[in-house]
Amino acid sequence: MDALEQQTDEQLAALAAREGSDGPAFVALVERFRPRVWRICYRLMGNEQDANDAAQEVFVRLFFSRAKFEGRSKYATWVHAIAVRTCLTLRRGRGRRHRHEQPAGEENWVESQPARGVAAEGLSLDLARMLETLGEEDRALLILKYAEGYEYEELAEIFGVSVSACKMRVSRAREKLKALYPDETQ
Amino acid sequence: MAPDFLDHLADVDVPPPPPPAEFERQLHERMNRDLAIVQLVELVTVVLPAAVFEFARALAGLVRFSLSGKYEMHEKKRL
Repeated sequence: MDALEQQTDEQLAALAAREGSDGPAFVALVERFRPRVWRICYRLMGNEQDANDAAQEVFVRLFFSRAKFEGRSKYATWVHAIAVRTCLTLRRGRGRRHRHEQPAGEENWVESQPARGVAAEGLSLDLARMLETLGEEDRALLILKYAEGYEYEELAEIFGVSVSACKMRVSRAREKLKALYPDETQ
Repeated sequence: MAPDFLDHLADVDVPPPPPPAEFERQLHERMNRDLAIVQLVELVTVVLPAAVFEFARALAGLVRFSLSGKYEMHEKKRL
């Protein structure tokens, strides 16, 4: 196991890809990326239960696609991208279910978000509610940029867009929030 | 300079991840379930149709050869 710990992410990923099942290399990968994936999932999902569910889903997806890493980016970035996509998929599904369950004419889903846990565990209610007005990808972009301190280059790789497009989306999302909430964003 | 309103996002503390043992147990349960589903789908959509096709081919060959009395030999053409 010590030998595995000394391997780089990419070397470990290559070993995991050759394993028939979840062998020691994959277990080492899970252990190495668990804290980071957990942070991303918690930030994007907003509560511990959903974050735990999402983190497990991330590693299941990582297991099934472990042989697909082509080395075009850093392995860590690739894993982070899987984590972000998984969270976005889960949140979209959650939003669809919620809209489906909610009778027409009642309070809309965006307005009910903070009460369902997004703001409940620390994030200021106003900011959480403001972010919910954005699209899922824009919301994730802002969270990763400002809460986790990702660079534009890394965000561009994670979201599969150019760096300039990434900057533009962050800028537009900020402008949208400022237009919608002029008092809170001063 | 006043902090950007979005900088407050970083003020939120992220709780520590669940204990490794518990996380791994749940992960393995989930992976085993998903693997079982994937393999069941593969069995139903790939393996069983292939098996039925091969069996049907053999059966058709048996009937054809029985009726014609000739066993067709598919020899490769030699150049």
